[in-house]
Amino acid sequence: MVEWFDMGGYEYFVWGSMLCFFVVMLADGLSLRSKKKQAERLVFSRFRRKNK
Amino acid sequence: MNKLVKLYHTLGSPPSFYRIAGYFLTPLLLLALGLTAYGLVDGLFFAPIDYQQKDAYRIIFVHVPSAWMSMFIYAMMGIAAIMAFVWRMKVAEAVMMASAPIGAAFTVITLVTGMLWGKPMWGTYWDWDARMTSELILLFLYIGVMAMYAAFDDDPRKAARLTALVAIIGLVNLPIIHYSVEWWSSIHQKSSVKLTGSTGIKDWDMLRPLLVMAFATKFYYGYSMLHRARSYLLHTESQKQWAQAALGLDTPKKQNKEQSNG
Repeated sequence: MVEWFDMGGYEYFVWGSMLCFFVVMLADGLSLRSKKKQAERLVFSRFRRKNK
Repeated sequence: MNKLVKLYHTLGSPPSFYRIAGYFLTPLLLLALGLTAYGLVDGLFFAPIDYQQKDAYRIIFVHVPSAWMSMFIYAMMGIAAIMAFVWRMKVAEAVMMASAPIGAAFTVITLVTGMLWGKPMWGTYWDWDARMTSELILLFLYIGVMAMYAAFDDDPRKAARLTALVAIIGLVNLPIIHYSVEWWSSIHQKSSVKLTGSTGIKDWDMLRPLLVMAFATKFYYGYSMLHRARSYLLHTESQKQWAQAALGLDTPKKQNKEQSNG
């Protein structure tokens, strides 16, 4: 099992690359949510202002 | 009317695009996650060892699909930029601006994983050779596109028009990145996958996870781009009735009408 993760001595480079991939993808996924919430807040505030 | 022309006009309308794009989000995300899980497990644990690079070559399963996506997304952004600049289509502006951060994310992955692959193979993390330098310029182009838009964001239509111009000019970098390893002498290896010729990966057990990851990243781009484009349209059309209706907000007029009907 350990051999699988050892990557023939290149574990720092291989797993470092995988970590980079997941961290950047996760950051993109989280920013999607914040962009959506930001846009929704703007629509709600415009709606409230219009119907005051 | 020709069906294609009709589809073009339907997708060109922000409310229709917002609604139709919503149907694709969950399937695209599930495909992206499923294929990423399969592609990485297959590539990291089951693909055979490379006879020259040993296990270090497994970085290819994130590096190459990300590199392809960094250029593919710029091409998509460039096409959207041309449509936004010539026809001033709001949906094209949304696609263009939605693509930029995703393209930048894949370019960052390409550069960082390339550095991590370069150290054990070339003995250095970075070399100012044509491939690496042109990929770094691509990152600056993505950042430039986002910065240009942010600089004029009080007037989104003007911002999108100026940004489209920058994105169109940047298209010239794509053939430079692609052919850099052939035009100039480079420490970077030639293309890993070629449809013709004897170079590139030939072993199906190595090629399969690479192609699966290529599809996974394409599906992720589809998901993230549509998600961002929807948010962009809501943001820029926040005063329009369709945007408010899309979030379940009814105008007093409509509410009154419903009450009188009831």
